[in-house]
Amino acid sequence: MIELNERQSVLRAHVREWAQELAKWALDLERTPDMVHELLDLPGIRFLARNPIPEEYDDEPITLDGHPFRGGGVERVTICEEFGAADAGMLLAAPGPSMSGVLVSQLGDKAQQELFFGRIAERPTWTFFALTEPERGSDAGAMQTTLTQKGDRLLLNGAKRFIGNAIRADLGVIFARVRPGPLGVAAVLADTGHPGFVATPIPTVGLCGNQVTDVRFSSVEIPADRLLGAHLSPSRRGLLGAVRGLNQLRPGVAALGVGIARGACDYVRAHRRALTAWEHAELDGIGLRIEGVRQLVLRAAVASDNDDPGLGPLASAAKSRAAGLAEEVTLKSLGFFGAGARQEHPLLDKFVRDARGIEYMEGTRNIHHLNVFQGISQGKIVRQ
Amino acid sequence: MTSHDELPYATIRATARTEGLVAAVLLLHAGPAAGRVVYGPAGHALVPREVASAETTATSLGEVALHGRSLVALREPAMAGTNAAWTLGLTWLRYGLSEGLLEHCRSYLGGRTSDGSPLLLLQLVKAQLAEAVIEQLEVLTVIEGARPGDLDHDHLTVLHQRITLADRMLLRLLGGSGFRADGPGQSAHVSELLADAYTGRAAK
Repeated sequence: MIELNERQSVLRAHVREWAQELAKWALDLERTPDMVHELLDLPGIRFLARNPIPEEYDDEPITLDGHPFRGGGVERVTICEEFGAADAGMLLAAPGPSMSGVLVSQLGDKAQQELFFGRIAERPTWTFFALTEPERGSDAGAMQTTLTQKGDRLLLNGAKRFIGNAIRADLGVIFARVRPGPLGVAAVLADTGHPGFVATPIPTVGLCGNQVTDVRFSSVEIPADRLLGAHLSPSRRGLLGAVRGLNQLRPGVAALGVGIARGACDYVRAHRRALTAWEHAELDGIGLRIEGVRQLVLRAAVASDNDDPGLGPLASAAKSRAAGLAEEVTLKSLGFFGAGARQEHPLLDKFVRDARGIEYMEGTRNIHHLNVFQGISQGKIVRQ
Repeated sequence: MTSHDELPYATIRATARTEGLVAAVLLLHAGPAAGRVVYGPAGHALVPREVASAETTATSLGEVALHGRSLVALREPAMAGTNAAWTLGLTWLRYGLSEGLLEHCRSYLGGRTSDGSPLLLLQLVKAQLAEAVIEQLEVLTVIEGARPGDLDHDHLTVLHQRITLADRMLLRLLGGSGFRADGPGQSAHVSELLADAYTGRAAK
């Protein structure tokens, strides 16, 4: 069993309180995703807006009960589970470095990191991360968005799909092809204010706060010095950089799934009067199942913090299992309220819908099963 | 019409598969209640707006959009009950929707490629598609030939749960597009809401 240490427990307690406070607006945020702008002064959003910023770019590090918090795998999954149990949509709607922050930390040079994290530290800044393309889904190797040199500028052309927060964002990381072949993909740090950048919301069944979008780039001019990883070897930038970054982030997505399952379970305990003995046993069984997947997620998070070569398959195992858990538990939770549960309990209905969204975030189950198999065949996991 | 008179189940199934949820729900309502709202065991209904407009005593619990149409969630505890013919009809309706989703998946996965090969030809995908169809077949085998009253309410509730599972398996194969509210994922969502309103038992 993996237990949180005192410092991580402090973080969990604070984030739980903040996330539960924000959950009061969960249904309002669904209807009006822009209302997140009205919540920027609340501690949960203020925390997400600044977490994490590397030490060298942050004059005011986040400190809770005397403990500093600088990000990392276990911190990320702790935050994600608590928001998932309250309202995953709120976490996804919040400003902050999010996925782009990981990529900029990994691939950015000093000037790029100063630009990105400087803006994050200065004011609430939404960011986005654009990898997936229309018609190509998880097949990143078939990427068609292009980045071409034009004097001291780069020209971006193409389209991306299911990009969270692009409509609110100032900054984001976009992957595009600079030449054919697996090493021909590069990442660029782009401002959304450039002409030719158009983001259009896509309506979704759940997680509406995230405001996923279709994004089109029509000859968007980007300064050449915004190319990420130019100072690194080709094997460390581009798609391989994305894979490394996504491996680090994936336990967080898995934790959102665990949180959603826990949130639904907590909802049953809070709103069902007088459970029968059988129902108690059923809920206890669900709780144990959630704990099992939480452990798997924590294992992946620890691997992330330790730069463990098994991180990729472990993160995939956690994500795959957590997506299934979220769907299974939320559907089961409806049974505790009988006919008409989804009409009478809109927050529970929201958990059920949001759970479906975990499946497609960061790759679907099939992709992760293949990653796990690769981990087995390469001896990266379940090795004595 | 009594709750044991048969409805045109084959037509309801085909309508759901080819014309979609709203057309099939309208057809289902045209049967036992001549256009009036039918309520579930705890007094809930989910009906197209044109059907809901005739209700004067029910409480509206909200609306859900589906491909340009709108369905209204209603509560009228005085009308709570179960109608064997209607709930069996709803099973055929949701089964037909699930069949339509399967057809969409086959078309979608046949048109997309990974490393140059159609997704539909990947073993992993074939197996999952087969698993969903096995789930559907199990439901079909039980309801084929069933007359109203042959399957009690709890049995129909279980069949609806299996349809939901089959739909979820199919939606997973659609990736992000299965989560779009302007695509088949929304129809599957509303299909789940129908099952929620009309199956299960009233809470104690």
